[in-house]
Amino acid sequence: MQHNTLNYDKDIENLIFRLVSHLNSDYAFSKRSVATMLLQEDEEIWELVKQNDGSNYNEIRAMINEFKKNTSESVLYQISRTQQEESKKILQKVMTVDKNSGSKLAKIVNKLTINPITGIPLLLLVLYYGFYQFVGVFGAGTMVDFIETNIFDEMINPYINQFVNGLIPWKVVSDLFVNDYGIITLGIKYAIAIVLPVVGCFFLMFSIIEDSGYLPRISMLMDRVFKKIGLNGRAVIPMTLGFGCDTMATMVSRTLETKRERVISTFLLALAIPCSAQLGVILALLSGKPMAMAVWLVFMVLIFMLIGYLTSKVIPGEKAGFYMELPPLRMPKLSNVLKKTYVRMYWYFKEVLPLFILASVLIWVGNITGLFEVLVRYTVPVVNMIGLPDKTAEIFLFGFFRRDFGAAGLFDMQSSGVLNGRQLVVAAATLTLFVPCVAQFTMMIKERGWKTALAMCAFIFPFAFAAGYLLNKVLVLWGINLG
Amino acid sequence: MEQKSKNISVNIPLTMLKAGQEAKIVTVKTEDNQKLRKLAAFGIFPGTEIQVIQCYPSIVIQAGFTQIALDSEIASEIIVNLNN
Repeated sequence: MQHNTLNYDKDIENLIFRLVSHLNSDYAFSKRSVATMLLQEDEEIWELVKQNDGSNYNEIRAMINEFKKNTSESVLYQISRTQQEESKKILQKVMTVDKNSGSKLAKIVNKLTINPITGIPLLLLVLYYGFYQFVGVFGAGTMVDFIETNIFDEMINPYINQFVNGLIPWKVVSDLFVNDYGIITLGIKYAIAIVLPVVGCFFLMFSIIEDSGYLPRISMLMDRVFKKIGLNGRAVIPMTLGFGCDTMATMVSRTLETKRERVISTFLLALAIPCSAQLGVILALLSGKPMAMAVWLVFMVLIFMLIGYLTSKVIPGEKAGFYMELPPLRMPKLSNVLKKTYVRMYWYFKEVLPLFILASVLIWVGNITGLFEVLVRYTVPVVNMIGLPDKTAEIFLFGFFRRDFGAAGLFDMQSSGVLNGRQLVVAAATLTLFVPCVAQFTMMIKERGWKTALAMCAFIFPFAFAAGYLLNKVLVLWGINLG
Repeated sequence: MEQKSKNISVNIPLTMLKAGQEAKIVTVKTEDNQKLRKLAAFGIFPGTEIQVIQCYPSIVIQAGFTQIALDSEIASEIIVNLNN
């Protein structure tokens, strides 16, 4: 295979040649590339050279400094220019530009998406139809209803309950698999009937938006708002992904430039961004009560902005500037969208199913030993304090295992009509704010370290209940009837 | 850098351009190497011809086939020469 190497200016080529001779270690890529990146002052590469060729480090530094002193134009620009000219030449060989073909429509659509006057209503429409109607109403409503009621409750569960109870005569043992909290009748049912359709719908929607090139446009529109909370438009991507899965989003927040942004976004993801399963269930819960939905939405946005603003004042560090390429808008390719959705759902499911099963097992152990009852008893006064009935204590404990698990439990309760509108809103808001699930907490430790992760939880835990308490008090005092 | 002294009168920060105006980049005034490097990867370095697409909420410019969104702080560090 023939490699095309770029030819830089003669002096630069000489310097690269001398630099290469000072690089003795093996790098994952060619020494010529290492030398070029050193010249461009790539900090990571400098660090790598320091580690691998430490003995020559000072000499390399001196060579480059000496060279820079004697050139009129910055080496970075000379290299960038050569690279760009070369890529233009390649492009000319393989691409013809037709100035008239469809570019006009593309230009108009592009302008509509980036101009705030049209772009913000458009963004709201995308959010309304894409997330509320598709993920919330269709995914968490229609699909969950069908799979949970028609398939599990009517077809699978009675049959399995009967079968397992007949097979295992000891109720203590059969409870592990079936009945109220069994692995099959609770863990697997929640995973397949509630979480799978919601998360599937979200990832499908996210993949379509991602492949259309729309995400950077949201970043651009939201940059100013995000600057108020110590982030910038770049954080739109992990934040939006958080509405799918906060665990995944916490991992993605590593793409943010400064440590400060990574800490703030991790914190906000843990506190105020509901994951898709949670969101889907909450939207379905509140969908018949527009006032309740509005109260929840306004409350969450207020908390997000207020806590974001305060956090940005408290956490030191420099602000990162915002610059981002806006790729051309394209019609997403169905095969790519489906593949992405599948891969994300696979990742999610591999992660979620064992935890759902583990939660079922832990609840089983807790029930046998009486530990669960004790925990519920301690949680009851707390949920009562925020105006919720005793039974919700269980849900908050479930929520500790997985956010969606708790939300799914809430959904079950709502179906039996135990909660009124105000209680639903308070429960939904507290559960949204409440601790990140076990998986997200694990990811927080992995990405941000023990201290930061624990400190965040130490704040979130009491804060969620305090906020719920306040919300309940305000709703009661103002006598707002939420149905 | 020598272009800077040629006609200093029309060298202005990118933030002062209006939508639709075309200009040529003269210099990027920052000491931050990482920023310089990343902007250069987008083609933002002296000599590049750009056109302003939009000014608010972010500044959007066209450079070759690439459209780039910038916040006003970064845009104010990019000094351009107006093409009359």
